[in-house]
Amino acid sequence: MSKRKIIRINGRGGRCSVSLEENKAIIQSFFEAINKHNLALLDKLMAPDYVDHALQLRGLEANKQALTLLYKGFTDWHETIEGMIAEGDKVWVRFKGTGTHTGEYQEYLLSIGKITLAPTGKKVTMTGVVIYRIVHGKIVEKESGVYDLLDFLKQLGLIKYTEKAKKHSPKNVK
Amino acid sequence: MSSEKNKAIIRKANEALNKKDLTVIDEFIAAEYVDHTNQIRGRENVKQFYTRTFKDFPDFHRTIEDIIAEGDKVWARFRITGTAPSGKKMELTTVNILRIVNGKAVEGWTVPKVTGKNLSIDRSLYEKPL
Repeated sequence: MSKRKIIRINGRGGRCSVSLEENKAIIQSFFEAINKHNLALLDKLMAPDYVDHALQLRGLEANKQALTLLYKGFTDWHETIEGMIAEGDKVWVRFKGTGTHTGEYQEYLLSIGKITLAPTGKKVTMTGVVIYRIVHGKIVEKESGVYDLLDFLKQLGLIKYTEKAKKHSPKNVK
Repeated sequence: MSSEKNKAIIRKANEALNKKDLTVIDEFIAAEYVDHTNQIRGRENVKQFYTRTFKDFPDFHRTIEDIIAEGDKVWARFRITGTAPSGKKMELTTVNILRIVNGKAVEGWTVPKVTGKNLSIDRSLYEKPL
């Protein structure tokens, strides 16, 4: 059975194949797939040469492997879209991820290199904004990601504030 | 307000802030502005926030790396640099989200949240790097 693809022709005779609403819907499905651990659906939503520039992961397989590791560290990991905006071939998403640290967590920090943290049982939250580029209905790359990483590491117990920080910003430092 | 007009507001405001010109806050921030992330309410508190920032980082500089607009929202990714009182050079990337009504920002969000400085990593809590 053939699937008909609707291609809109814009006034200049070029091809404009997806609308902003369609791109946002693709991202919604993407987040749903991550939440349901549906890696097979990711094959449909993402290009095989998908690159995550924020996490430095090239190719869909590497990204799926990273997700598998994430699920090992936080079995109930769940991401909510708190805001979304689209223009051209880009979708920016403000998300909140939550999970319980029930397995080994691996992270690479520029300042100290790779770290692994044995399960702490802590409930953690990660917020961030990620920028995706979508071409012909497939997510081709995450161009950028900005994360509340320090806050996340603090929740895991990997960060503590120095006395100097407490004196300087008593409101922000708890 | 069109997307291009809203983006122009961010660009103009950013240029002014890099010159430490706080009058731009009167021009582009509504009196009742709310920063949901950093819990700052009101235009005067936004001015105070920037005054403190400029005092702590006299060479504060913010570049717009990327910007997107749709409807009444503008999101901008900023690269911020500055030298702290300690002499340490600070670099930070943030995404600011603003909702703009009649040429003025009425509410906003920031990722990441503004945090205290001088964080240290408690090395006793994790296994040695591989």
